[in-house]
Amino acid sequence: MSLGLPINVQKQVDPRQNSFVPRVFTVTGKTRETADTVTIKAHSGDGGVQLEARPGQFNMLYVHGIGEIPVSLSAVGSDGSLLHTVRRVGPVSKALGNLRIGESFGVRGPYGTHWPLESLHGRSVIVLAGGLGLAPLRPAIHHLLKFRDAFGEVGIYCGARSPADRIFASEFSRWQREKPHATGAKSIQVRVTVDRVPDQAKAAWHGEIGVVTSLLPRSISDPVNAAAMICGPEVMMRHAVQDLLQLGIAKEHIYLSLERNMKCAVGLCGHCQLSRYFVCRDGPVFSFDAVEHLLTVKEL
Amino acid sequence: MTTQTIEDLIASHPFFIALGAEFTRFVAGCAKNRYAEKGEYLAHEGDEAAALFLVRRGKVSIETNIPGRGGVMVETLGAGDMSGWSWLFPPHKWTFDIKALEGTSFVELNGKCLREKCEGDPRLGYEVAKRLAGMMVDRLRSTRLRLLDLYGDHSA
Repeated sequence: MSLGLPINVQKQVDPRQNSFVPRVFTVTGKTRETADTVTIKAHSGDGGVQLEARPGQFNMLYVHGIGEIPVSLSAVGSDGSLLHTVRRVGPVSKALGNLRIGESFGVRGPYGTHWPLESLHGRSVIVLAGGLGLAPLRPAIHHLLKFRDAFGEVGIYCGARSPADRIFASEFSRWQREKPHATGAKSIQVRVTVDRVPDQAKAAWHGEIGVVTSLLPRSISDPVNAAAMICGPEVMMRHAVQDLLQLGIAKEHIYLSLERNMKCAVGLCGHCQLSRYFVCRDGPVFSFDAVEHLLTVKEL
Repeated sequence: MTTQTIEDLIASHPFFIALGAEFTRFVAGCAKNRYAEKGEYLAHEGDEAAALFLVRRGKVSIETNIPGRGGVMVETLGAGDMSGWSWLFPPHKWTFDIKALEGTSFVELNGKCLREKCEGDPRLGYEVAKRLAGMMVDRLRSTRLRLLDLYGDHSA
């Protein structure tokens, strides 16, 4: 039985067969996630076929006259819309964040590897996200929710700088409420922690305070049949991997999404080279055993 | 329904997991089962540090009072966590407050009693010291990671 995918996507696109010319998309919605982060919903403006993307892949977003940056898809709407979550940190991301509904921008993609969700069927899954790292994981979480019975226990652990810096916070309770259909299966566990709570927010914050890895369970029932997907600052991921290995999860079942300076997105320019890999083409999602020896090399 | 003894509670807590029946029984002589209401303090900064707490259910905060700001939470701890190591190190004073953020069940081990047992039996003392050191390493690593402010905007 094919379980299909939660988003309109069934095959990988070979980007080198596509032109470098972006397709035009129009902003059809904006959600302010935090003071500096916005989710942009966009529809194709050229009437062409829908982009086919898998959870974890990214697009190159181009703002006319400003430049182009890689941004992971944070969801694909049932109407074919693309959702990208952007933090305003540079000229292009600021310009993207400032786009108004009805304005257009360019999209190339989707590119890169994806979370191997189909191969995780039958396994318990840990999702560990730090800060904006939750954005590339959100489509994977949507898949876990949609096909809940295909997985064992699922834990979603999120870290943020402060309560006000949490993205997709309004979805957490829905994820937690999601019940499996299978008898005896457990609900998804969703836990959130923040690094600090400003004085003005402390009365309203009832979650955890501490580093995101402290949310991980101390033990899991069947580590051989467990897997993990991690996205966040690379330092956090390096430490998280050590904790996951301690839990007994195999290196080849720990997946992380890496970030480098991606420019062409098709493995030609070399800006995102990580030893023998191009992160844009061979990543951004890697299994830990593939990149373990590279993550502590300072020159990379 | 079976009632758990204090030894069961200690033996099943991650901090003392696989301690062994002999030591568990020995340590249990210093322990009592307790419950704190939401808002109740388990420890006050500056007071004699006379306990090690094994949290079973609920949540506590490690916090300190800053004039003009009130209690500022540094960290939260929950089921399976332990709190309190100042009983082992002179001058045996709490360096932070510990407050229950919700109804919290925990095992309280008398620090003086445990210290004397550790000093009287170096094998137990080493076992407890190793576990405390491991916990401190975890907390130090977490603190260092938070000091890095990994989620902040460092692009400027």
